[in-house]
Amino acid sequence: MVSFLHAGDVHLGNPFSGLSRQLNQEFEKDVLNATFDAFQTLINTAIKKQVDFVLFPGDLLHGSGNSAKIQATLSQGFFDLDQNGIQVVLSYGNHDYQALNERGQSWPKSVHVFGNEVETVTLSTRRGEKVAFSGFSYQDRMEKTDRLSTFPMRASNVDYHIGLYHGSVGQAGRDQYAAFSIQDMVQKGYDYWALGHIHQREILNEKPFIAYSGNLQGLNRKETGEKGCYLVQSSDQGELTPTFIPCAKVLWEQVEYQNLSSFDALVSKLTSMEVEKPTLLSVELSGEVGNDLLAAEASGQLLEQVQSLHFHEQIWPVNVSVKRMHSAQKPAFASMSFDEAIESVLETDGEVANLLTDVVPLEVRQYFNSKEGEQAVQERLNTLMEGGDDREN
Amino acid sequence: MKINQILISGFGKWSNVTFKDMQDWQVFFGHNEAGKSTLKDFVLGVFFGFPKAKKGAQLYEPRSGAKYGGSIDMECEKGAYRITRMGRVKTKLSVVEQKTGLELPNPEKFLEELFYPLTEEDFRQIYSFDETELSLVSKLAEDDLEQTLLSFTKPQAQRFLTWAKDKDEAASKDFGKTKTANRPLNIAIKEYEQLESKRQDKQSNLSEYLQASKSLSDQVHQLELSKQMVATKQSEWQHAKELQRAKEIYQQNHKTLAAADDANNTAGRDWRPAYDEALKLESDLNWIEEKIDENKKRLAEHQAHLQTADQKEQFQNLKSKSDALSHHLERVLTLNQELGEAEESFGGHIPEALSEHERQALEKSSSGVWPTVSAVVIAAFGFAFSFALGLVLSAVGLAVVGYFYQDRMRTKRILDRFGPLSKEEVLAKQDELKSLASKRDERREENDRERALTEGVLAAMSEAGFYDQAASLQMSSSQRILQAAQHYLAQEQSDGQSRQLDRVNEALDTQQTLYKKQRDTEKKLTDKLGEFGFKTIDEFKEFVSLQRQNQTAKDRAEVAREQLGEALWSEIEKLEQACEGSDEALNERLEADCIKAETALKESQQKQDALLAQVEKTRVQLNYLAGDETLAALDQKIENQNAYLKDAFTDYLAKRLLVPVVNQAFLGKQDSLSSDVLSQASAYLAQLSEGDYEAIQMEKEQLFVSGMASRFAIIELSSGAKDLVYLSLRLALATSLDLKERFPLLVDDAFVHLDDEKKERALALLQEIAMDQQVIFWTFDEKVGADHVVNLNAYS
Repeated sequence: MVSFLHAGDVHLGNPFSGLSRQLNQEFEKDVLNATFDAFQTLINTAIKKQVDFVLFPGDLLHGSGNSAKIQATLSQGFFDLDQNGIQVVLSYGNHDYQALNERGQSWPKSVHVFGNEVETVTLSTRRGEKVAFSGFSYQDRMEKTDRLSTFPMRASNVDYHIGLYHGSVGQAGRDQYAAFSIQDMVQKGYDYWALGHIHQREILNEKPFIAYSGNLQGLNRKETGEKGCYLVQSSDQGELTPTFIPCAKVLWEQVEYQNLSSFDALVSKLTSMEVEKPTLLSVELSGEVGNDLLAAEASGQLLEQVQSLHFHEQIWPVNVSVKRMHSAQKPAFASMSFDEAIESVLETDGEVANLLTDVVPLEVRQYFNSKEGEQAVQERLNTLMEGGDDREN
Repeated sequence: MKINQILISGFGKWSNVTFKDMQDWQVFFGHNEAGKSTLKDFVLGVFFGFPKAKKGAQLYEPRSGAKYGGSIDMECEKGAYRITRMGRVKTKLSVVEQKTGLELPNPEKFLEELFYPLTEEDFRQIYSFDETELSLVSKLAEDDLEQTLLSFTKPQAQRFLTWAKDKDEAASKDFGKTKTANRPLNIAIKEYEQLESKRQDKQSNLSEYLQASKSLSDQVHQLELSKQMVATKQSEWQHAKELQRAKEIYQQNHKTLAAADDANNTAGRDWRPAYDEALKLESDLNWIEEKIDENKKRLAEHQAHLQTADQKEQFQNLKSKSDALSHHLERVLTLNQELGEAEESFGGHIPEALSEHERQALEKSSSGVWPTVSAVVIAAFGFAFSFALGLVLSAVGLAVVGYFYQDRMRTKRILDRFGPLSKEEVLAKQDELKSLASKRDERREENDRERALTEGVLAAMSEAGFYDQAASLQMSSSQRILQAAQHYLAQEQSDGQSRQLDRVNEALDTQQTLYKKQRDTEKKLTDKLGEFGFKTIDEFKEFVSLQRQNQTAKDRAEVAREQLGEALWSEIEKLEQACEGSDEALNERLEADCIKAETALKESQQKQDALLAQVEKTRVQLNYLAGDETLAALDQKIENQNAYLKDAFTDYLAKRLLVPVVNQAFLGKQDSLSSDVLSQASAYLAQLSEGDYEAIQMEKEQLFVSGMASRFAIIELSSGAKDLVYLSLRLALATSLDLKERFPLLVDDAFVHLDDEKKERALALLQEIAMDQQVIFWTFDEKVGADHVVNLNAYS
């Protein structure tokens, strides 16, 4: 019987995004240690379950493993696994490709790292079964070539053949992150594909099992719900069956409340919430929203007001927003709607760049060059043009 | 669109009033407080919603308490409708098509479509104006006037643009494009950069860690080598010490072995078999000598027995002892027979004779029947006399009966001992029993004597010379001993003396034999001793003792050599040879080697200790670096600051882009509208100024008025001319828009500030305009003419 853990996108040491500059002190420590705690939970699970392998299909780190604490955590974790007869198979992804050249020298021999070319290693389980692993590490932050085609067909002289792949479904040559097709993956004949890159748990195919385990710990408010890894075990018939194991210490959650007439109504809803772990909460208000809530949101005070309540020792609000029905508005004497005007302006070369000089940090400028940044500006412009501000006055 | 009728339920001062049959040029006349403005606001309220509660806002609650609201009958391109809006807070709106009487399902949508694309603000800006606007013309600053006038050329755009420019201006205060700017976002950027800088400083801890980690690996490796070296040196030093110890043992045993070899002068021959044989021969000789001595003694005794009369006495003694034993055995036999017969007669057991007491008791005993009967009879007689007497007699009778009963029992016990015999037979046999008891005692005594008698016989046999025979009969029965003694006596009786002679001869023969044997054995011994050159057995023994000592020493030395080990032994041997056999030199050499090994060991241990300390120090350093959480905290702070900057700059960019967005949205169409408005306004101006001013033009967002062969900027005009320009543009805006409906103008006493002449021309212009679209004019000037003037004063 073979068993292993599939843990994609650990992002060890990655800070959380979207937190305000003032975080509740009780949460600070949990937030700072969250990815480390999740990693330790993974290691403890591997040892407790006495698995044969632990697989990391990319983005184990964020960047090149850039702190002593991260290096020490990895070394200790791998050492503990080695002491318990557990082998590690690891590839680097788009976020940690630099680590291939910079990794610490103190890892045990039981840690196998894939190089930039697709390669296959054959290892043995505790019971002597032969398992082949195929994978590769990113050479750069993007991978546009068709890497899947260089994977070998299933080996015939092994009991199981498992693929590690960091990428997303798409068109090779066009898309940026080792794009692949599910059909091509199935045709390789492997017994299991451990995917990484997408931070949401998602099954792409049942037999063979092709899935993203999601990341080990949510890092921003889009990554809600339980996070963890897959424990995969073979049945008596030799089939590999995964079971989700939660590992995250801190949860990101989102709730939507409709037709809240006042701030007090919101408080009542929030105080009745029950959680089991420290939770960073996003609240969306929709429908008929009370004027006091709208006013607070318009003035940018709503989140602060909710945070000041300290309504639950295990819940910290990180975002409170009002969902507005957006209509493409065309003023009476305008030649186009505001949406069209906004798009046209944003598409104009240099319109945004001229406003952001070199004084603005490069990362911020790059953000506004990205789709995400453009979308944020667009949404903000829509909000301004729709009112909710003093335009009518 | 034309308003035909206004029906008010309750609105401010108006309650339950209807204004019907309204004309295209409709004048409402009324003094101050007549409700002119109220009426205008009612119309706008029905169209767009009644005023909401705001600070300072006029709500027009019905003074009469009538139900708030009312209706407007109007006709438009779609047809004639009654628009009814009731209630200010919870407004109910309905639109009924007047031709069919059907209420429209979605009145809000109807109104929205009716007025589309105008908002309430647009409608007010375009179709509703009053005297306050004109009054402000003179009060506006030049730029503001310019902007206000321009806003009529591009009504919505200007409004949006003004708003966008305000936002843009506010946003520009948040961020300065130069490095030295100190605005909020610049400060936030500096904070971000400071955090990044701190992070850079902390970044070195990773390379420090990696370096320390590598150093640790090297140090651990060095430490392992060092430990091996220490182990080697330890082993060498121990070996040197061992050699020193071993040298003593070696020297001791080496000498022993040499001595042992020297002592061995048998030229390699094995002396052991000869020695064993010699000992055996010695032992044989000793035995022979013993036998010779014994034989001598016997011979002497036999010879002595031949010559004395003691022998007869001894035989006599034997005879008497035998006889005594014989008599004893016969008596015992007789007693056994008699006692056996008696036992049979008594049923297997001879009882003890009766004692005197028992005999008397037995003789006196009775069955006790008659005494019992007597007692009963007497008791009966007693009861016959009296109960008490009966009781007494019964008690006495019972006592008597009891006595006889006890006597009976005692007799029974006595008779039980004698088995089946009756009382008379028992009494008769008492003498016999006594006799039997004495016989039993006699037998016991005889048995006790038997052993002594038997030993006496044996002793007598020995005295008589039958030693061997006596010895062989020690364990035999008395009968057998007697038989043997009687046999020897019989023999002696027949041939006593000849036997004694035979014994003597026999002893002499034995003596000869023994002497010969002795001589032979002595010769053998001498020959054997001679093989190894010994004269006596003692010499041989001494030799053997020495050999054994040497062998023991040699064995001990061999064991010591085995314990030391061949390698060590050989090593010391070689060293000894190297030192040319000199003990002193060897000692010195070994001592020097020991000291050298000890020194090397200490050096290697010191090196190991130093490496251990280094490893420990590196581990402490690694733990310190790994435990430093400030980098993680910094990363989080940087991320938070990053998120803040993105959010803040999103807001900044959005606000800074509002102006281009507004310009883009209104691009083109407003310019077209603008030229239409200007063209119409020019016509109105010419009319209002009676040709003094001919045209209004816009150049680079600036307005000019041309006339009197000149061109004037707005600021160059007189206040009266400014009023006319304002009015022209205002009216031109309302009449130039190309919309589905031509909405009515709502003019509320707009010309109060004009002089009479201008007022007349303005009124004439309005009436002209009314030919194309309804104009509703509120005035307090009763001279304003119209076909149908509604006197609001009349409704007071």
